[in-house]
Amino acid sequence: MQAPIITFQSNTPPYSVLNSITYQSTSPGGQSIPVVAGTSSNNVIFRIYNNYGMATNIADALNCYIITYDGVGAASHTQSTLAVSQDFINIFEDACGANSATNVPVTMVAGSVTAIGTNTFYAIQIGSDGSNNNIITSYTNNNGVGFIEFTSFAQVPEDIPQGNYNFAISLQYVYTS
Amino acid sequence: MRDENSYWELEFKDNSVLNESESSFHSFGVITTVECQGGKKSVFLAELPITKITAHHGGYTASFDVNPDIGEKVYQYTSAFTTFLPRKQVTEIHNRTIGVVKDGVVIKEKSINGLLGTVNGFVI
Repeated sequence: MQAPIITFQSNTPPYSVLNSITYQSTSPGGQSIPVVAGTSSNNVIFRIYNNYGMATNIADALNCYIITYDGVGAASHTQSTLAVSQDFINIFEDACGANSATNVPVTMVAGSVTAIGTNTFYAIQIGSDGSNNNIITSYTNNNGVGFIEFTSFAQVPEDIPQGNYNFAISLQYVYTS
Repeated sequence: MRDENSYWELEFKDNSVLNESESSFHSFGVITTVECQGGKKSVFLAELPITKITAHHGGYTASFDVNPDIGEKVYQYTSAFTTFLPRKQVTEIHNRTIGVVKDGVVIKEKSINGLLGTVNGFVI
């Protein structure tokens, strides 16, 4: 078995691979505005797929955890920037499913909202196969192209200086060969 | 096909040997949620009379003797990390882990970190 092929993708057809995620708010007039300190952003929904391209001999992803990480520049992998160290990002699992490359059968999940950052992570609560196992199935074990759908938002503390805060979102997992 | 830098080997009661180039835990294992140091995790638990499990990873080796007669079963996995960065997604492979389970509880585990060149683990 080869390593899982993990991709961060849109939750709407054609489920394109995402280039980036931006957390922002909406003004009363309907315009996009920065997230004001002390408030929460609009929700951003995305999916994490395993083997969306349906390659052969790909392993399931087990024990999956979502974390935030300093992604670029000198602070990369230090978990020192404010968005990570102060747990800006909140996330929960809202759906799961398999075979979504074709028919998109989706099971709704009421995940627990969790602030993720330096010392906290979010563990998948219901596997892509609908089981209590922490798993994103891979298609090659005859169990469907698995995905987990997440709702996320940024909750910015009141005392945070104005600016852009860049960070990465990671999925940590294991697989069995 | 076996990655010569990272693979597992199993020995059985009849002294036969199986390695990663010949089979997969997906073939003879059952996905099982086990207790591990106060938490839980899902592993493919081998349903075979295995007497020894060995993992090779990044030039390091870890192994455990196993007693299937008292219900000890083994698992192994590789740890990876996929990071979503602007305009790219990067996957890194870090650890190779082997473990022994008895009565649904992990009683031994070793993990080889190929990046740091360390082998860590515990026995209870």
